[in-house]
Amino acid sequence: MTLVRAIESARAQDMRERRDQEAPTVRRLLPHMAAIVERLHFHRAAVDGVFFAKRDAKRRASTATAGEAGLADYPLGFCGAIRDQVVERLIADPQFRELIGPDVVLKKVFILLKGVYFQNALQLGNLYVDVANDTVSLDKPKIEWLRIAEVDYENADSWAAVAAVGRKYYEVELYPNFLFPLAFPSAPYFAIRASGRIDLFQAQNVIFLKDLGDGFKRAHALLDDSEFCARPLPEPYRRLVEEACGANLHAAFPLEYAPTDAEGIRTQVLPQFAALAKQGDATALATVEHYTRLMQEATLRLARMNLRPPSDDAAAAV
Amino acid sequence: MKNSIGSLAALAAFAAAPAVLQAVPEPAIQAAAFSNVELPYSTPGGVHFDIDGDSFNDFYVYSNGYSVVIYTENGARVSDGTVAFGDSFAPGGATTTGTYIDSIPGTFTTGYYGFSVITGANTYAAWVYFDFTGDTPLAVNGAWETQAGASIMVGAIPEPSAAAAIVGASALLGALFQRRRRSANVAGSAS
Repeated sequence: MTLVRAIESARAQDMRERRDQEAPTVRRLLPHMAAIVERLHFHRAAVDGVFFAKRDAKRRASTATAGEAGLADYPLGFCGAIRDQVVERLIADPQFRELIGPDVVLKKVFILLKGVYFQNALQLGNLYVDVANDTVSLDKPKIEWLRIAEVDYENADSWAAVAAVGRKYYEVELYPNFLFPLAFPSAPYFAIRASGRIDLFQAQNVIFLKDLGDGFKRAHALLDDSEFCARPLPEPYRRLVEEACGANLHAAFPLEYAPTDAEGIRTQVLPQFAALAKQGDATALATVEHYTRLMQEATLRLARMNLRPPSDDAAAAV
Repeated sequence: MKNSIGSLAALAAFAAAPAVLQAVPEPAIQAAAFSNVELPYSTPGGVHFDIDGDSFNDFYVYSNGYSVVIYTENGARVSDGTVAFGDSFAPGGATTTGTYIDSIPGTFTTGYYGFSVITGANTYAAWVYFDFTGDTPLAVNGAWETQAGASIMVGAIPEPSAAAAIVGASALLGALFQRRRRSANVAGSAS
């Protein structure tokens, strides 16, 4: 893996109709959709079997928070895991490969669906395929497919679009992250859940990796949004985060607590990341890998802290 | 005490830090703090374990009377099935957040599971040994590799002192041999 490949893999998760895929879609896929869907069902059932064996051992009531998948609720919230495991099986399935032929593109996509959902799906030729269509509502069929032109979607290409979906999908309120500056390129928002808990809000690193290859134009666009900048984190939450992380002890929380503003992010943080490209691929990739692991750790730790103000303060704050 | 990371330069220095730590000799393997913990089938919420002693639980064993399952916590992962005594287990070998040990009644007798556990920003290999041959299933013991990213020998237990570690190779092999002999005396095999 190189840094360029990592950036390209994020860009490749966009879904787009391709001129070179139109002929294989019409001639190869559409006439054989019944057989193709049958293979998709076959592999989806195999993946379900793996999760069912684990789910059946769980006998406790669901306390899942919106956007957090619990095994007891499978398949709800498992679209990414289901999609990834089905793709692995499809790639290794000679029967499926023979059905679609050598010219058809098969790739994973991450899109914003109907302005409401984060969607992990597949692009097959010029078709949109969802092998986890029942992971939001169990009443829906497991497999769905459409011509890409018929799908109401946009690619994850701006923080504003991701945030708009995030608010609905995760049922959260979002505020600028000006407390952990190093996290901003990957997690520019704090999310306050309906439960009152504060989290860091990320987008599967897709926006961050795309931005790494585009001079952080998306982060700059967010900083130029006066509405975004003028909505500070409510004081009870700022105080909670400061109390929990303000001592800057790495063992407690790995990110430096260093309150700043949009200008500070713009002039002191983003240039560090922009300079990565000048360091040579191996060094830059190692730094990016360390950074994404650090962000994963930080997100997990903040969630585990379960920071939430007393109910009166929380209700007044949000 | 290490400061939290606030810049990419600090991140690079932090990532490079383990090379300095390796200059200080210390045991590579640490024993987990638990031993012979009972796993009653009817324990609500499961029995939780902290392998690496960082005050964050790494996994719990849950049973509902129909099956016994390991579920990981706090970023840890477990091997999808048992691992063999004496094998070299890497953190990447732990791929799943839950694995099915056995049904009730079942056929599992004894066996090792590999884990990857997270402390701070690093991932460590670990193993835990289970024995279901008695009246109550047991999580017998475990150990974890203190060097981030390094593999651990499944079943290896550290010696109690540095001096013993110098001459401990033969003693360690002797302890492992005793474990292998004890395992061989148990009827059946791990699932």
